[in-house]
Amino acid sequence: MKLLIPLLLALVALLFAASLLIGPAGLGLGESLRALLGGEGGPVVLVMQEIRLPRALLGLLIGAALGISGAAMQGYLRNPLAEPGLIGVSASAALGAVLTLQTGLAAAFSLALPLAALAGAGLASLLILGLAGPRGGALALILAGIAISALAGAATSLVLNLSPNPFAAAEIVYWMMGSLADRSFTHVWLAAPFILVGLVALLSLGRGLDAMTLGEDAAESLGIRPARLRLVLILGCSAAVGASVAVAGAIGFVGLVVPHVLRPLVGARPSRLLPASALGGAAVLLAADIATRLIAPDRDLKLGVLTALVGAPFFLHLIWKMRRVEA
Amino acid sequence: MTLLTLDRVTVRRGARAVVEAVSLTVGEGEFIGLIGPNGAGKTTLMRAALGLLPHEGRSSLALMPARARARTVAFLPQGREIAWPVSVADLVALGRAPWGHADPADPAVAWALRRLGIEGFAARPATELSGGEQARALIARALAQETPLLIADEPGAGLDPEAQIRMMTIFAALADEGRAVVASVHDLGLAARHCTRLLLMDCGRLVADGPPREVLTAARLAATFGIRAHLSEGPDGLIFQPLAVIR
Repeated sequence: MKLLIPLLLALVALLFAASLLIGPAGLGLGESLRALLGGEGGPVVLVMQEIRLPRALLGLLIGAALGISGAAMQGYLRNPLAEPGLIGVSASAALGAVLTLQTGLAAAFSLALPLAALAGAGLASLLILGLAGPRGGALALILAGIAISALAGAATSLVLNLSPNPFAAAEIVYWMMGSLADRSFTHVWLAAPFILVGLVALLSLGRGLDAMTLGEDAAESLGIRPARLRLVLILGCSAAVGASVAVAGAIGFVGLVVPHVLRPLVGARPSRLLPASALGGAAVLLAADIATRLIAPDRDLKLGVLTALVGAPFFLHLIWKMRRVEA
Repeated sequence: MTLLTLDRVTVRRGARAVVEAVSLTVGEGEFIGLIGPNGAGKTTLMRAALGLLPHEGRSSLALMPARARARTVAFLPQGREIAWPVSVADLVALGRAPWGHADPADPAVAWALRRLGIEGFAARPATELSGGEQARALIARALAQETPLLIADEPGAGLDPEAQIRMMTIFAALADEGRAVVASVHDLGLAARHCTRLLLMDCGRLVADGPPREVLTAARLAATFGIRAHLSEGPDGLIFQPLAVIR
């Protein structure tokens, strides 16, 4: 399908615009655009430039990060059930964030939370490189990822367990649900460099992931260096996913489902799936974020809750289909 | 011209040597059957020769830079993995990766598809083919790599007799054209009939190296495989028929 990438680009552009134009403030189209492009002061300009624009940008970046990370991880592991959180970066980033909520650092200093989450992601990626780095294989990567995720998850539970009062616990639980609400340009500037570096790194893996279709030995005999591929994969996913979790919390199922849906449309080639999944992820996240605003405008429906609510049944449907084919 | 030189290649797993001091050369025009019982070290030797395994001794291929090696030798691993339902044309085009772009429109891809007689499957998902068709698609992938040397690990496993004979005929034709093929083969009848040279491995050592007639002797078959076999000259070459287990 040659038209797929242009179609996805158009869809992302459309949803990006919709994300800018839809919100509780109920602004008119002309008014919004004028406020977005120029103008100073005034509540409309503030809403457009300080609230909706960063939110739409984060939706775009984080969706792309999750989509491409899922596609790359599935391509490397040759398993359609792999997802970006598999290497433990998401859980570790969440742990870093939760610690700042628990200690009150997040309340004292607004950037403490995303910075601690980034540190958590960085630590996890170093750990996984140590455990499944140059001489490890796919299995070592999966097992190390499971171990790191479990450890970070247990530590997060401990923090919740020991939280000083129910309000602190509630705050942590709400944060972990994942959301793009009330993010500012500071969040965009913090996450964007990591996500962009991650996107570029993962996009460079197309050739290697294509060759991996034939297995690790055949790929190596085609001139691919698996150790280097694994290194770039781990660093790329860690940067993209770590930064995403740091500013938006855990948003599940996008990285799992998007590559799944797009795979048949790109002839199953991992190199074509990477850019398609980046765009598809961006489209899904922007759409889901718009939906949270439309479904319950005054209840702060969490983005991560919505993606899981839609993603999980969809995933069940995929498993059901796979089961019928294999039976 | 020599395409592969192994000089006392040894692979250890712990204290045990699974391949021990194997030296040999492979030249143009040879179709070499690597034979030996299960666990003799055939796969390990091939992987070490390709530089896929740490080893002692010297393999001319393992010393090459990755890209140059990928232009010298194509490798068909055991197991025929095809992870995604890519089209047969895309699968075969992966063989072009060492030469630049894995483009299914590359003439080498069309040539390889024709050579294996699978141009009719080009647009079909490779995972939906039968075992024999998948084997042919993967051989076409290796041919599209346009290397002077092909190393194949049990390429005939699980194939029906027609597919096996077709495969051996293609390998023999490649050797006739001046390339070289090294394939591990369990079917000694096929090896005796088609290969120009056999390498017999046992317990990690190369115990015989020569034309099929010289390697497949009653004494060696008894010592390495523990079998008695009937060997005779047929109109198309050596005929090998295993008869009984003797140990």
